[in-house]
Amino acid sequence: MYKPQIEHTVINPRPLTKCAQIYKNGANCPDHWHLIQDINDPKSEHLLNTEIAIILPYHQWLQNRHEKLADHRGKMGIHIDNTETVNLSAEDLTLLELICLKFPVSADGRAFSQAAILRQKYQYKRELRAIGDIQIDQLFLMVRCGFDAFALDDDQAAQANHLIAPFTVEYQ
Amino acid sequence: MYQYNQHDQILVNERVQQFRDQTTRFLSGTLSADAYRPLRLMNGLYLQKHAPMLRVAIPYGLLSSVQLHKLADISTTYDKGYGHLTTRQNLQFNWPTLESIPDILAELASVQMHSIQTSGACIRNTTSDHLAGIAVDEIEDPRPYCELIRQWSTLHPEFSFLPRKFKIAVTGATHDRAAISVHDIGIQIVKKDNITGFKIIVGGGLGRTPIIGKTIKSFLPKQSLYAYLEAILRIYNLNGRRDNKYKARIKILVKDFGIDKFRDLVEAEWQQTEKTSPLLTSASIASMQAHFALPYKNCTAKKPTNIISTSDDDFKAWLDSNTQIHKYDHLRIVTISVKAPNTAPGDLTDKQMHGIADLAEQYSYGEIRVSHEQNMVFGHVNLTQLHSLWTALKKLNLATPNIGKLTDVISCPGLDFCSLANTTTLSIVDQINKQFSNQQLINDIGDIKVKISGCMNACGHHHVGNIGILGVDKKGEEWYQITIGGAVGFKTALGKIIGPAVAKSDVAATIDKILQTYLLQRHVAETFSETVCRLGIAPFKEAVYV
Repeated sequence: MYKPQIEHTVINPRPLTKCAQIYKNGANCPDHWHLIQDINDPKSEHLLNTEIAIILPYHQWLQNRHEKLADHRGKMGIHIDNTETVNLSAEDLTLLELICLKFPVSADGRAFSQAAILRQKYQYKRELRAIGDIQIDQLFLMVRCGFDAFALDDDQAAQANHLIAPFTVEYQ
Repeated sequence: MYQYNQHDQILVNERVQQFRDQTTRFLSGTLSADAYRPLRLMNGLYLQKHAPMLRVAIPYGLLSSVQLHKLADISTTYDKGYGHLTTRQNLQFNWPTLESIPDILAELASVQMHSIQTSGACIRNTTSDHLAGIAVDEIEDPRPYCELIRQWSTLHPEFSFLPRKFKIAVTGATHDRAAISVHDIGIQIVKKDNITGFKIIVGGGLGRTPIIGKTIKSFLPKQSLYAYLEAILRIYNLNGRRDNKYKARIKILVKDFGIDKFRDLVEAEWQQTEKTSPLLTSASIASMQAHFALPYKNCTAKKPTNIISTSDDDFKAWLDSNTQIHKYDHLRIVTISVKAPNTAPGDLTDKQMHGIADLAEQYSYGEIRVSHEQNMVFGHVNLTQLHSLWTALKKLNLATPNIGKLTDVISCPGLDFCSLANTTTLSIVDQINKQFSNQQLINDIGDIKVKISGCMNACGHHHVGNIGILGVDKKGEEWYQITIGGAVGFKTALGKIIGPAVAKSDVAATIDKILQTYLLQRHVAETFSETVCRLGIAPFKEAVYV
């Protein structure tokens, strides 16, 4: 679902449209973030040490935030695989402005728990983005787990507002 | 029983609207079949062999007369005039049309019922003891906790896309009638230092790999219930297998990790959830318990002496097999046998459902319980009214005096209805009824549970039948594997296969040989189960195969 500005994204690749969008606050809006699959890939060089907002692989962030990434001037975020155990320091939480969690297939609900952990245990307050195979009928559950941004295509975004809040009450 | 407040009612109403919308989009083609599938499953809708099947939730097996009348009406209007009781205390309709499901759900919502999460990879109906609140051996009524868990688990946003289905059962007595040892989470109310709390068992289950659950926590203070459940579910959600649906239940995870490692992970997570999960307060427990208060007060709870003398042998037979002692001495518990000869176990016609609902009003404070064994129970019948109730039940063909006996068979619907099945099961029930039509013989054989499943998914719970029968497909033919020695309760045991599968036409004769062996070898007052325990399977195996 995520439409990359760079070539590497492998989650449900879709043909590139004019610019990447992200569904936030009720509409698809331009997304200025660039998702990097591997900072050691020469094709990613041009993004580092710039003003550009970059989303880094979780482990590479942990290894490089004081080295290769220390001079990056733009905003930084991470994308975490749904097989990872999330473990962030207080410092990470001040530096990171975006976290992406993944739905490799929509039935794979591990990211719901990762989101809950980030919001509850780590008190993470910034953008929490869902990427991958998202079904719009899942949005209301994702919102309740703390997601506030979603990689949706135009068709999905058009229907999302109607489906994102079907309940006025909840049990938990 | 629990009465919805406005919050509860709005939730089910909005759920109906949501599903109506999803179904409209599916029928118009804007929602794909793949995308619709998890949504319909989370509303209890299967696409089955002949027709869609809708599984209606009967939370912890408790129904009001009003609700049962409505189920009867739905079966008349939208189905073929009957419903089927399941081994998890729910009811299934086998013949609705897909288009009518939203209307059916609206009808259910009008009587505080729903089909939420009765299927799908989410937390299912929390089941319980059909004698909750009235059993002589009760420590504490489990139903308030079942309702609290039901609410906690309904539309839980974190646990709606688990690796697989998740089933929770709660018991509050010294005998476990809720089969908690073969559930994903089993909860037993226990006493320690004079206060009650929960013993938590995890990783039990039947199906392809039957496993008896292990104790993860021997005493959990009540206030931590939500936090602990959340910790278990979160560890399962994150670590359960996603690559192979036959290895995705929590029982496999607990087996792979070992209970000690699994416990360590849960306890570590619990340290966290205890900080963020709401406490289960004594106030909310008390408030919920008020919903389940018994409808009669100021009774003496003492063990009754023998209750009724009668010269009517038929009435006596029914009293002996279909009724049992109640914790209050002026009342008796009555089981309605949904196991008449020539009927499918657990099937009730609309006429029978209306009849039971009316009788419940008259004889049992308008309340009905559904057992795991596909029968119904009236929990509060006055001793003086037993005879007239029996008379009325006979007219409805619901008084076969066979509860707990050979012909009180538990069976899944099998190949006649279910697209997962390898064999028919109803044909076997039929065989058993025809072979063992002599009531005296049935009484002589005594307590015995025969459980039949048409495939390895074990919806008939055959692994824990005293005699278990599993249908297998051998070169396109129906064959049946026989196990003996299974049992549920706190001494849960899995049955042992006695030998090669038997041909369909031989099943009743095989059961006969097994039972003859029992009758010959039993000690005085020994049940079938006890004899098997004492002798092992060897003499039975010999009787059948040599």
